[in-house]
Amino acid sequence: MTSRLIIETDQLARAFGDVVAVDGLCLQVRPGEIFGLVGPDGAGKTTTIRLLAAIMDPTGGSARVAGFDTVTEPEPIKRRIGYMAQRFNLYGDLSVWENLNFFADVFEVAGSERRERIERLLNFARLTEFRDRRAAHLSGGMQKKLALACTLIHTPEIIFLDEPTTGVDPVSRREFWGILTDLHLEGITLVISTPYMDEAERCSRVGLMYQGSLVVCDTPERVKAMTRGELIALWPSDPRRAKDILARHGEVLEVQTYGDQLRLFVRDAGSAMGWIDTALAAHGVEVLEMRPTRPRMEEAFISLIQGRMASEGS
Amino acid sequence: MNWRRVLSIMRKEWWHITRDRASFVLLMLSPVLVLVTMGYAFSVDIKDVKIGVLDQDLSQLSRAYLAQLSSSGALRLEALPASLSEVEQLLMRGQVKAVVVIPRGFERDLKAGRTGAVQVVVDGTDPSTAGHAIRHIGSHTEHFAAQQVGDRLARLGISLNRLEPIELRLRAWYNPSLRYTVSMIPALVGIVLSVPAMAASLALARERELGTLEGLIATPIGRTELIAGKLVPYMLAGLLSVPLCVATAVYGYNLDFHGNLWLYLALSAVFLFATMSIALFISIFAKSQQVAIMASMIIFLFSGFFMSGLLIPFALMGPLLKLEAFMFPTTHFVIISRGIFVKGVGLGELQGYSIALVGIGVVFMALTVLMFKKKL
Ligand SMILES: Nc1ncnc2c1ncn2[C@@H]1O[C@H](COP(=O)(O)OP(=O)(O)OP(=O)(O)O)[C@@H](O)[C@H]1O
Ligand SMILES: [Mg+2]
Repeated sequence: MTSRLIIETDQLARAFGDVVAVDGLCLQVRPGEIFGLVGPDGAGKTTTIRLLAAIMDPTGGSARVAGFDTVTEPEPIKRRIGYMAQRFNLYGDLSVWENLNFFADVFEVAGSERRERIERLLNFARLTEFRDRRAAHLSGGMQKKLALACTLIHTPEIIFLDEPTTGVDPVSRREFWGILTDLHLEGITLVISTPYMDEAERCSRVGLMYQGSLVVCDTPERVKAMTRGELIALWPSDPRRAKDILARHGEVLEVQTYGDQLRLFVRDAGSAMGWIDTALAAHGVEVLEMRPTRPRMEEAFISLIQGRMASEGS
Repeated sequence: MNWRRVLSIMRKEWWHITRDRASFVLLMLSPVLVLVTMGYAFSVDIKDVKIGVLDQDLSQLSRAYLAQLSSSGALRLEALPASLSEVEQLLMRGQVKAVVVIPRGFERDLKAGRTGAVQVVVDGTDPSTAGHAIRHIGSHTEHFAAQQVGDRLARLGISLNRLEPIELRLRAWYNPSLRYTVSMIPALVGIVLSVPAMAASLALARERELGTLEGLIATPIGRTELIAGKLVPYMLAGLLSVPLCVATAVYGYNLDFHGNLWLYLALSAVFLFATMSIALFISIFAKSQQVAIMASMIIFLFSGFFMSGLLIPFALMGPLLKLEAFMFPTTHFVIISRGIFVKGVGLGELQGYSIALVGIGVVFMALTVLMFKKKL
């Protein structure tokens, strides 16, 4: 079945001295997927992507990308992938046009194909009118789009994107995802790390990383279904006191706060709607609004991480 | 090796070098600036050393001796102190660098056939000037003494048509007046032309620091292509400052350029190739630009001065230091530069040094390509 996988890692590990950034990672990505890597800061997402892009050697295990081993056959991999690093890594003193042409030369894209492709990518990234502007003088969102355009110049089979939309405004983010969806529809495999849960929901499958290994790896729907119990959204008059009171209640599995809102995992949402009111009223806390709701990626993510942290603590 | 790719890297690198106007101008001019400042510091030819004479004898002979001392341009009679305390003051204030004390009884002793004693006091805080003063006072004194011997022999009826049986006729070729600048400036050109290499040592370190290297190593770019693409533009930039340096030497320091300018340019290119290879070698290990610039400064400036035979003659170096000096491109280029500039020699005489430079360049280039890994 290995031929069905475009990326496969076996106990992949990378340590920096005492810090184990990636720890026995077993990851499988199928061709044409959008694979999302999510996880808290320092979970090892960047390190994983670097290992897969064959620009860093693992200290343990192995990885195969597009059928090649990342340690022994890095060059064939590099011809087939596009890599967009977390940090802006184009040449700031070169114009948009010069950056694209430089990468076209590097990837040996020549002739009429090159001209067409650059035109198409400029269009695609809506950078046509900025083609003569130096990359350093572009806005953050435009820089990200230019970086993406440069990684697409050779029509790679796999694209690795490390937090491509961090620090980009919502409109540009939407546009960016429009581009990614087009690529997905063309059959290109995308591996993308992101701190945004709404982006994780757009992926074919997500891998939740925590301390260097995968906690779960499944479709967004199934990941969300992994939460225990049912979810209630609640707006109390005093969220802090309400949280303390409810956390001690036997029916409540977990409480998460989002500003003024509490999100409670309870065994049975139907009955909870009844007793929460009275329990809080007894302590002088008023319920402003309350309704049952479906868990989002964010709740699932926090719930799974907290579960992992609790099991480590005990 | 894909030439289109190499050309593309070269062009990009050239843009990096030239688009930052201020640093480009600085890169072009810094060898000249360093040459001007260091050249000035190194090239003050010692002449006109000020001396004083304390004549305690005040005789005919002592005056003849005094006249002999001030008969050439090397020494200038600045003061005639009257007492030892005045001598001390003159030396303390630095008004004179040496004082000759002619003791009482100088004429009497000489006339009686006894040895006349003359004392010389020098300012030891400035040994090179003091040495210069001692040498010239010594030779004047010998000359004076020989005259006295001749006079005495003549009085005894013996006449000699030549007093000194061997006359030493010193002829300094290529630099007849032994001007310090003539030897120093062409040598300094060798050192200042390694300044562009210091800029080159930043080439990879900067990309690493900016994060652009991370993007580059994720592409199929070849190591040789990358290194060659970085080397050539920096060599070109360095080559542009060679005519500027030569012009500074010729017009600023009044030196004659005796050799072939094209040969000089060609061998400068070879020298730049050698220094740039070392610079790139540093660059692959330097994690930051700061480290790169420190390392290249130590190697190119410090070693340039102390190991290239410029300040410390090879004769004084131990075998280990000599070996190190040999591996160091500036050593060879100092000889090449002096040779072409001052002696006007051709490639035939400089073959060995040129081959050494090519060898150093090739070895470091190969090491750089081999040790540069397309990994983080
Ligand atoms: N080159 C390195 N040297 C030393 N430690 C490193 C290096 N790269 C990563 N680490 C460490 O490895 C761990 C994982 O880092 P990594 O950058 O992969 O996390 P991440 O999930 O990408 O985090 P973020 O969301 O902040 O980008 C961190 O503890 C980090 O400090
Ligand atoms: Mg990261």
